Amino acid sequence: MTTNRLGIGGSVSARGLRAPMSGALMLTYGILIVVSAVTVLPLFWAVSTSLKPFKDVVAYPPVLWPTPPQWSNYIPVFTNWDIVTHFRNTMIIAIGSAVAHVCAGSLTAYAFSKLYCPIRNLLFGLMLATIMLPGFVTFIPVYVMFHRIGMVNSFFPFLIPPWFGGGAWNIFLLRQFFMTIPDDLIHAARVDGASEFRIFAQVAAPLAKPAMATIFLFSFMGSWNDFFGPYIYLTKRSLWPFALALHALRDELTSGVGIGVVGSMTQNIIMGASLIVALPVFLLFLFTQRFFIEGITITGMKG
Amino acid sequence: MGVGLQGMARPAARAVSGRALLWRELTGRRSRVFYAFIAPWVLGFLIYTAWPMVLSAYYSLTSYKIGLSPTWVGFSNYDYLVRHDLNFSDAVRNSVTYTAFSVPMGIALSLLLALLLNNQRVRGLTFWRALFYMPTVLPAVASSYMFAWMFSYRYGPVTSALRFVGANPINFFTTDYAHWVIILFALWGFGPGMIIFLAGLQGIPRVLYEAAAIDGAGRLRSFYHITLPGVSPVIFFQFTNGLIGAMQTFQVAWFLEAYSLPKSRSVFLGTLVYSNAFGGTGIGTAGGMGYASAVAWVIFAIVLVITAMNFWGARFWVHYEQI
Repeated sequence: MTTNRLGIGGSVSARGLRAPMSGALMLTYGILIVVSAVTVLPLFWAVSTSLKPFKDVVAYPPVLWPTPPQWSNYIPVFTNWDIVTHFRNTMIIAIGSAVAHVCAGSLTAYAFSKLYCPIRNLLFGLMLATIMLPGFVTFIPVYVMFHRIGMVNSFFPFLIPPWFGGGAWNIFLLRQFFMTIPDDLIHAARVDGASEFRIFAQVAAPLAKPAMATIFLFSFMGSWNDFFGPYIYLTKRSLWPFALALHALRDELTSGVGIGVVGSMTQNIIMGASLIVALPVFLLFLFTQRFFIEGITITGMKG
Repeated sequence: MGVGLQGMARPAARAVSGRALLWRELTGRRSRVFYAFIAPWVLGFLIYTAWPMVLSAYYSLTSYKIGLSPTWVGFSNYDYLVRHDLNFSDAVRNSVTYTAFSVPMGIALSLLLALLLNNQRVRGLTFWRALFYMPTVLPAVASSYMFAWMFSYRYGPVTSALRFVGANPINFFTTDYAHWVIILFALWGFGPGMIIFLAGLQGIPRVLYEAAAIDGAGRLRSFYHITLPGVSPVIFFQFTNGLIGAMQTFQVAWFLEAYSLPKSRSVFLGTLVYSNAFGGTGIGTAGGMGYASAVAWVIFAIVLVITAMNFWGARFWVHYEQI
């Protein structure tokens, strides 16, 4: 307790030698530990359940961790799902719309921060107002539109709209970032005779890479986790992303289709499938969490 | 007379030249560059927001099933909705209850945790932040299955815990506790709010606390007079956003419905829009895209009224200036 094993932060900290914990600090740690236990518990329980044989799933007192873990519970998921197809569909939607959000979002955000027009603030206010608009008001006509042009059961409803502006939140976040780039830099490039688009693409955009990475990640995860959009637009199984496959799996299991185990005996399999779908985004978050924290801070603080 | 004319002509001329100046600015090179950059967004705004709003308002006054053409029915969708649709009154009650609990409780929880973490003596800030943020990055389908499994009537760990302390197991999904499961699920996602609060707290100048301490203010007084006003913009932001999100809740209710929630407890405004538009089982004489659009506009109206009240009330408690 008294030595810093990693030696980071130095043994001579500003606070001097570590004082014994005060009561308030212990209470703080106590609450943090309890809250994190509650936060992690559903996840832990899902992992544990996914590895249990059926008799352990329903056992009382509950089995905390099965011995030995029954990894074969994961097999039905792989046999029931065309996992390559669902992965491909998920990735097409997630990467396709993320690229569009980043490109279109930064173009719009650059205009709102570094280009001038008398009605710029008016338009920016209008854009912010669209954030307040409940999506349900627009989604029916938009669906009808895609239906009319025959794009239901295709990825286009996910891949086309992001190119038109790139999403209000993303524009907002990117704009906050572009604002920190000095105007002199833009002017200097202009004096050098660079075209406006080149200034954007070769001067401003490279400086905004961290913000663009944040947008990419937010968008990617948003698509990976999205249920409502695919649920409306994609009814063909061959087009389903993971979210829809997982949703259907539950019904299929409880009705006994395709797997041969019925009803509540399948919780371990459902938990396994949920974890398979959650694992990629979980890992992605683990390695890129700095971007998430910064992104969420910027949108929340300047809003 | 000549003098009078001159006197009158002058300001007019100035106004014209002012307008001309604005016009020149609006059509000038600088503005044209701006238009070029902004054009995709403007198009998107027209195609995906403005025009759909007009259409949706129109659809809400029609009977419209996809594939057929809309027939004008006036306000009868709204009339049926408010006066005859039992699902609607359940949905309003459920959505409003859910919003009224989950939003303030979420704000309180994230503020509390942010206050605890905003202490230089607490170590591992990065770790705690990531841990608390984590549930919101999981796919909603997966996380709602995991969460619901915790509350499973027969075999869930919550039931086991209840049995362990000798209490009777509760069927969380067929009783009024179902609301609480859904609200708890929303609270599970307090992480992003907490992170925004943390940033807000770090933005409050330390000098204020030091000055207050010199003046003899206790912790509670400092909290009430410095911390709360300091983070009031964040509270306002989270309230506004949370409200819009919560009134549209769809996914959680939709997934939990699989856990045999009775319809009167699982129907929310969001699910009502969906089931009327796509469910195929339109309610009563209405149903279809037209009826669903009417529900959507009711959601919009509720959100608009509360947000307007919120913006109006903000002047009394939201402090933007920092001394």
